[in-house]
Amino acid sequence: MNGFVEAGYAAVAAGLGSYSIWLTAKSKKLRTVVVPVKGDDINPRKEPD
Amino acid sequence: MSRDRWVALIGAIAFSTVAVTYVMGLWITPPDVFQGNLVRLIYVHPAVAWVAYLAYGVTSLSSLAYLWKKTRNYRWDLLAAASAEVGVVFTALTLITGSIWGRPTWGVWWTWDARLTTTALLLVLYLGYLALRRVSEDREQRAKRSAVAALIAFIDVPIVHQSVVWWKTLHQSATVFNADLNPKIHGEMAWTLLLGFLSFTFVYLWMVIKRYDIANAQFNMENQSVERAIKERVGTA
Repeated sequence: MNGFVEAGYAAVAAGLGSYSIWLTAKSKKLRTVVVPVKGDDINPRKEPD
Repeated sequence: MSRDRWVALIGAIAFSTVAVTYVMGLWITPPDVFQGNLVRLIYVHPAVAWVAYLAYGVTSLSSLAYLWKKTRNYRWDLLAAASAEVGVVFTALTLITGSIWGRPTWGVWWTWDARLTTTALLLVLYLGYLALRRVSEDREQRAKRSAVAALIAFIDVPIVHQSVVWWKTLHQSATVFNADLNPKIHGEMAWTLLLGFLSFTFVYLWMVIKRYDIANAQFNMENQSVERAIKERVGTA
């Protein structure tokens, strides 16, 4: 083509691609922090004596 | 179907339709009589600009929902911020693709044309909005100030759209959403343009859901840490 068209399409792919990667990585990281592990209670209730 | 699967499905639709738009735009559609191959940028440039408008529209509506006492909820504030951030990405891409089209067409990468200047102003306004969100520590104050700022910034959106009508600009007038609602594009070129609008709208949807989920998770983490700190204080008192 003429280089400008390819550059335009590449810019959009690079911009949206890098933001998508950042979003996916960030949400995966947060999921591992936020999702409670079964049996791992932050505030375990005291058993009655 | 679970929410996660819906989000994954939206993401799959978004990125596969973008791929089809790329194939159609780069190889299937014919070159234009006047613009030659440069016309192929029309399948991405107006579509990303439309998504920027859409994103700021969602930010404004969410900000209004936050400011209205009956619907006030921090989730609206989070949605407004998520949509604004995605909008900034799309506005930056609008300026970049426009500049790439402008160089061979007008002979310059940038000119202080009404459409270009108001779009650059739009980017600055929403970057300012995102910066403002980082200023205040107080959650309620931040949400209120940001909501008002978002509504003020949105004034620029109709100005950007109408700039090619109100002023004599280098930028061409609207191809589809013009005053007569008479599209100047037909056949497979029109279908590819429409597909571009649809595919990038799906990309926006996927991105704003992901960004909202991140903000929501951070919000919940903040709440949990505050609650834990209070419990610790109460426990040691």
